[in-house]
Amino acid sequence: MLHIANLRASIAGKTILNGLDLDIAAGEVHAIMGPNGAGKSTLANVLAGRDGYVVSGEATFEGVDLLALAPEDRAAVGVFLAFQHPVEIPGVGNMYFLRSAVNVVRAKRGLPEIGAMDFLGVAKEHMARLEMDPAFLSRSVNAGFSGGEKKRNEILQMSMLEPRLAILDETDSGLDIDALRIVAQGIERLRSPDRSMLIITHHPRLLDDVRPDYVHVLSGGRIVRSGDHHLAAELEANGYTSTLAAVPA
Amino acid sequence: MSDVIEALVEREYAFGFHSDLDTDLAPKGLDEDVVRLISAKKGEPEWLLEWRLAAFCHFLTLEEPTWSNVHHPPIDYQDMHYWAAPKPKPQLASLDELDPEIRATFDKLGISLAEQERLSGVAVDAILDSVSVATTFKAKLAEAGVIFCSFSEAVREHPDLVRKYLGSVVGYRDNFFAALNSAVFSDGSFCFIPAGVRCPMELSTYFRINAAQTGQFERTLIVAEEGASVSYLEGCTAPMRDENQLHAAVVELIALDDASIKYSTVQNWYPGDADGKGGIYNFVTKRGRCAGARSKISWTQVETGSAITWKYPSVILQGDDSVGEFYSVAVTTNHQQADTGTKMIHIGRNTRSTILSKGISAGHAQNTYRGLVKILRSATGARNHTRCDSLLIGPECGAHTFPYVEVKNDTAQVEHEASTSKIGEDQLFYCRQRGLTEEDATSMIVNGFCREVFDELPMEYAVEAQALMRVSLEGAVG
Amino acid sequence: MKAADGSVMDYPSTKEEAWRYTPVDEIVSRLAAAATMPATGTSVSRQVVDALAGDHGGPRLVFVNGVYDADLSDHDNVPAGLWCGLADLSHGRAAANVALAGIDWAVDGFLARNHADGHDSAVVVVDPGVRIDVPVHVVHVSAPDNTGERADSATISHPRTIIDVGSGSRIALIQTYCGLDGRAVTNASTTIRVGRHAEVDHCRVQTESTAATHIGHTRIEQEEGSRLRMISVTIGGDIARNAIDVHLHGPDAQTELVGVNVTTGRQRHDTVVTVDHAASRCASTQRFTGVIDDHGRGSFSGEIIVRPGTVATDAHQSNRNLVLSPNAEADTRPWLQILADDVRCTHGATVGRLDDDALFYLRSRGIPLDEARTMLIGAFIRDVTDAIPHPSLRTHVAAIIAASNGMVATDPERMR
Repeated sequence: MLHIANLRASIAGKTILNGLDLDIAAGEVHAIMGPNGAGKSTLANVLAGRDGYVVSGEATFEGVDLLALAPEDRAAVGVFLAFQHPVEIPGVGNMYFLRSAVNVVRAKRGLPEIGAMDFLGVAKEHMARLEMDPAFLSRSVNAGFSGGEKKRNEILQMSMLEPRLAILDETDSGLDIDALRIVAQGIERLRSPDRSMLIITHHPRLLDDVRPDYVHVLSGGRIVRSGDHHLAAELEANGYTSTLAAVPA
Repeated sequence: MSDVIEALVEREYAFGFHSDLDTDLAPKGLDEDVVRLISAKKGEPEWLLEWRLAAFCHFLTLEEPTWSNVHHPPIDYQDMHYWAAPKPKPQLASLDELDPEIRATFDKLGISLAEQERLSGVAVDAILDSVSVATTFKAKLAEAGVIFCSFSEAVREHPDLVRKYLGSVVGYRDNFFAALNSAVFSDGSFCFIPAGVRCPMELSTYFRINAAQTGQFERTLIVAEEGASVSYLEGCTAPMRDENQLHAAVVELIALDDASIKYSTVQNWYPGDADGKGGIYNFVTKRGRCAGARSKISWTQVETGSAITWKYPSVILQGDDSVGEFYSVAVTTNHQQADTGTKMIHIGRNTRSTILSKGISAGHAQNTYRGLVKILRSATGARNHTRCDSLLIGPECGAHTFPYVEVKNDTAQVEHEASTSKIGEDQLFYCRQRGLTEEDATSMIVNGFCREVFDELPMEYAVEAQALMRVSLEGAVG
Repeated sequence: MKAADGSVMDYPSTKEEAWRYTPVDEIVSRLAAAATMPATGTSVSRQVVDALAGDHGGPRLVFVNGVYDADLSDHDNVPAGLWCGLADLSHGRAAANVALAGIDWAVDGFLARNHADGHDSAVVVVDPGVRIDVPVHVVHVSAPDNTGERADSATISHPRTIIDVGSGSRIALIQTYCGLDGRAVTNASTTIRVGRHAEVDHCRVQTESTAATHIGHTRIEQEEGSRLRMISVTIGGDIARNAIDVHLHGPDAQTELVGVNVTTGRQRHDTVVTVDHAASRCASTQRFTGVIDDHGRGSFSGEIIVRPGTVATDAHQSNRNLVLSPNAEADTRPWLQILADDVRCTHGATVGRLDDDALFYLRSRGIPLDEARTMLIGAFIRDVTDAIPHPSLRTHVAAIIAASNGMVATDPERMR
């Protein structure tokens, strides 16, 4: 489904991703872990198409060259990025924003527009599951939201947009235990045989609730070790330094 | 990003048509005879002619001001017509008698006068080339005691009211363009809300420039007596022409004790083409006087049109506990220039004012906020809060913020804050990651940026303003 | 008035935006009535200079009524790589530098007169790559003689200071304008060039007599990667203007301007700041504070200009005013002129009085009203006084502010 080969990315002359290879099949959940500065967020940004990086290598999604597409076209083929720092957009209503996005993506997939009332119904269902106050729909996108509220809002958007590939960039960071449980359940609910996920985290906690099929360790801009969820436990027990030291680089 | 800039720059003007109307034109040029001619055409009383002539004499002593941050070739005040009216100008018994061509003009603008009367419940005064051609809902307003008519009619029917208030807020000595307007104003709207009356519907004036090479000089006067309230909206469009046309209107508002006036403008005069050719010079003096205690005057403006906009809707806060507000969105693209803002003059005790200005500049446009907050010694307990935000789209445009704050009372509390930045890359990326195109994302972010001002508009116009913004900014999207 | 190129230069008028709040006509008439004092016969002693300007270690150049006084100056312990003295001393770098600063940038009649009529110019030159640990102190004392035959005329001086800091160097400067009681007119100009990657910490303290007229202009030229921090304190003068023009010519330069005016009696204090971003990736902040009491009037005009073609500009400006009496006046005019889109600019201005709640809170804890006011005023200007890097100057300034404002003198070190 997602195929990444020899992916390199640099910003302002500094190399961040240095020949990264990764394949994710349909329905699989992969976790990427690694120390600060390993390039985890860069990987997420490059896959979603953020400006400012010099990128080479290969990243295809179901055979489509992602790197050639504008960010909105990547969204249309089903790539969703849950931002590490969700952006505040003052004055733009959350519901209006989300419905616009859903309808643009639906239109590109040849689906009919979803009406305001139907949309509201669906949104409220999802919000109830995420234990979000429906009042959030009428507030501006992320503006004045707490850290936990922003992260829940990302999961809400993910639920509504029904992506094929969900990239979660440190969605667990800054959450308290209750919020973490709600977010983890939200992610777990979205697991399906035709949806792949790439979970970026440096805390193994989230992976107790959302058990990944594979765990990769990113260091120096490359994947230096892969395994199953036991690798996460090993990292938690031993730390990055000694875990990585045990492996030939 | 450059595609978006191009889209912004290539916006099209939807109201650029010209209607074929038989027009009564005064000869070009300005002298005492023209002033007398205008007064005579309108059958004005002697006192008004004298007032015009006094204004004209004063005008002759003035020079065109140069302090604003706008640039244009010199205006030749002798090379334009000072009187243009669709002829014949009938005394209308009902809207059915309105010249079908004029009616078609307003229909095209989406101001269907008959429809308006039947459906929307908004009273409209339609002004074509500075002459009022139709006023709707007069009967219903009259029942409530509200006078809403053309300025000429007000001079005929309510001369005492006009004489009492004309020039009482913006005297003809006020400034160059006010003096010019006072000498040659042709028509406009008059609105009087008697004591204790809450105007039963929104009042609206629709200004349309049609004739070529014609200066436009309307005068609007709104008086709200004790405890009265009114919400008033003006809209403006003009045909696309290569030459620049001058529009120098004066608006005066007077609010007595406990009265409230809400004045909203959606200004969409022709802005000129992509190279800056043509367009309206919109040099307008707008001022309100909160004469009474606890009175309130609120200006809301959405300025998307005109080649040059130069206006400062202001409030003199004279009555104790009076309130002044200014909410503004000014969008400039291509080669448009806007120098706009407000003055809040605090005289009474516990007077409060709020200024919220949002400037958006794209293409080669220059957008200036200029504002004065003045707290006089008498204004004990005065408060002002000002916020001006500017958004820049593209590297060639400019945003300027020129506030003045002058405080002469130690109990006053004045806060001013402002920011200037380009449209957020993070916001754009976030929207695009969710599937929105760059153009839609830009439009959405800009609309969000202006939201607090749009929220101040009457509901039906807020929708219109957002649509207008989309046209202004998305232009050639699709 | 004639400029250096011989052209006639007019005094500005209040119609010019930068002079809007300055009583120019009054200044011009005082200037016309003032007379130059002979260099000898003043009563300024070393003790007087210490009391008025303080001794902050490092070299000290002292000028009395615009004339250099070697006896009052401390010129022995000048560190290597630093040169300071008079413009007419035969030092190669100094001469070159004076020529550099002499490029005609007089923009108005006051500067033109300063350049034409100034007696001695102070010059400070730092060689490239030198770090000077002690502050260089330039003191201008006005010592008016309003007695005898000069009873009718104020004493005039045109102090000029030229500072050139070489690439990669670092220096701290203190400029003090102070004076004895009486009428004096000080028409001062300062030029500071900050070379590539150089760092300058500059304190400008004006504590002249309340009968004095002060027109001050500081022009700062910053080159690539340079950093300048300027703290300006305006306390003295009857009419005092403090203009600061910063020109960011090279990319990646940083400027931090911090200032306070303490305005009482019938004083008029006018602060006029322009920061001109002519290069990319520069960052500037302006933080100015006014405390205005009695019949004083404090005005601030700030301007940020961002030139076309620049990128990644970060510019911020704030002006806060505390108005303490019913007859005090505050004007603030924070301007932005932005001609490029890659900017992050903010400005803010406030005018208000002491927070009643805070005052009450302090009093409810047993602090007397006067002391509570002093504490709150001190807290209001803490941002500025704390920015002064030299402890001795910090104490000196705090004491003068306290005295001028009828405040209980509070040791800033204790209140920190």
